[in-house]
Amino acid sequence: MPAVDTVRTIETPEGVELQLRPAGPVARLWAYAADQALVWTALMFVGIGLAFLGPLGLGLWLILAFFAQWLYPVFFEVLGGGRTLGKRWVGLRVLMTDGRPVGWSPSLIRNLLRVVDGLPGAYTVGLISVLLTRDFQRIGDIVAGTLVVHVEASVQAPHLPAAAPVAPPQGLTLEEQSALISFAERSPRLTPARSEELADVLSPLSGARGANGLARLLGMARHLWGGS
Amino acid sequence: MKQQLFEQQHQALWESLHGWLEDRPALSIEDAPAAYRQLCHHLAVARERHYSPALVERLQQLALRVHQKLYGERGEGLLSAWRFIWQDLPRQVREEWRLAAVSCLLFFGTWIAAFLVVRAHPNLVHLLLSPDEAVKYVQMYDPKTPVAGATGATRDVMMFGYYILNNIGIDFQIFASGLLAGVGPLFFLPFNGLHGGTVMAHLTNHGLTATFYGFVSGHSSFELIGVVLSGTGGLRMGIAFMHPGRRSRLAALKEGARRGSRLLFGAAILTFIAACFEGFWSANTLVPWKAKVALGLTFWLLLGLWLLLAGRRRA
Repeated sequence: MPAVDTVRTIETPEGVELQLRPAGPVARLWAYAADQALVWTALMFVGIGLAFLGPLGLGLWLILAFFAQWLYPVFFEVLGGGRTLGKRWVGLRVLMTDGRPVGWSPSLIRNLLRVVDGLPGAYTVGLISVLLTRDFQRIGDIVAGTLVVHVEASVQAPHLPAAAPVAPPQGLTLEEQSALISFAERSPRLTPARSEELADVLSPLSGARGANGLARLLGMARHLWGGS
Repeated sequence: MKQQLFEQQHQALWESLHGWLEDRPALSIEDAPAAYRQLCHHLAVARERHYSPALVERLQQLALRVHQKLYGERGEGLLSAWRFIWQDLPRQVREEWRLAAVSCLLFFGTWIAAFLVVRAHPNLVHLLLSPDEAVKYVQMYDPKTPVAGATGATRDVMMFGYYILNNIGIDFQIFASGLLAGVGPLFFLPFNGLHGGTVMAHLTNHGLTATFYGFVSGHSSFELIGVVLSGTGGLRMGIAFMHPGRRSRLAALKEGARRGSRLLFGAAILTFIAACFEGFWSANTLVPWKAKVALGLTFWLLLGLWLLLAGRRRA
């Protein structure tokens, strides 16, 4: 796979490599904002209800505020498969750096250390840390040994242009197959002239030039994806 | 082998693992690890033979999900919580006795010093408290001051909520700020100690012993030991960062945070108990204040014995 992508590879005890996709600051910011909006809206509505109970209601509200402020993310991350509601919405999930689900202790550490990550205000320390680390970890993530990753959607079939499947004349590596499929996926968005020009680069493989070569490459992509 | 044949042969196994993930009774728990190892083998083979990216991706995602399910952390529930309180926590405090002593000194040392100084020179209270605050504290504990607003049980719940939010929040803050090379506890512990000692001496100077000591004695042991424990946890983390020893700084920090956070769990539990007492016991005036102080001192003794003696017997 391409070396410049933000993919973290973990090796399991069974000796295979699995790939995680750490989430960048923007996606995480959205999740955080959604969480905050949700929590404070809920606290506000509950507060309106509890206001009728007087001091008793205020006491209950303060306890709820404590839970919302400190423990809401911990409970959701540990019991909800690494996802607070905001992360669920954006499609993120918290994992240990070795790909396991988070437990109580790491989740508590990473959430308490928001105090440090938010330090001069507006999450400055956290943002700098996220931008400087390869896996987009804030200080709390680094210390707790956790990672926020994209929940992989189930594999989507790429939209390939119609072409008769053609078997490639020789075996292709996985990278080469991926490159061919991505090219086929992208070609409808290019001008035909540009597509053909790019396809000409592969004329040794397709054995033809121009529109004919392009058609053969698209056919190979279909064949590769179909896997028959 | 052709990819199609490969898929046909192993489709059933993949399906059953899928079913296991979704809690369908497709696979018994004993068979899951073996099936997972098979799947890992298939993934490696599919990669090696350059099968289509779609198949490789499908297998890798299935493997990732099963991996997370198989290697997930399992809590032991109540038993481990019980063991944590009766063995692990006191043991760890004794292991970290140097840091605990530093934390104690920073907190109780400044507390006692401030108390003695302000007792000897009552006017020095204004070094720390503004005149308004000084008056407010005296009013708060004046027996003639009527309790504002509601009385009784509803007010107790209100104060309980306030103590939870405020006091455990302080513990968390002291701990987390320990990451800044330990500077957080080094500042917060003496600051809170000075403040507490000054207020205590100020109220004693005004002869409010009955109301003040009657109020604070019941929960003081839990709350103050909680502060010291969270300070110890924060210092643990700061020291690990400043003085990693033979580990890399990051590895030392992770270990320090793991150990420190356990102390913090203890602190949070103690502070929670303190809030219960503070909200529902300390304010009542039915029990004579000397009895309340006696109970408070008993708690100090019991907590001390717990930290010194619990968990000494090897399992």
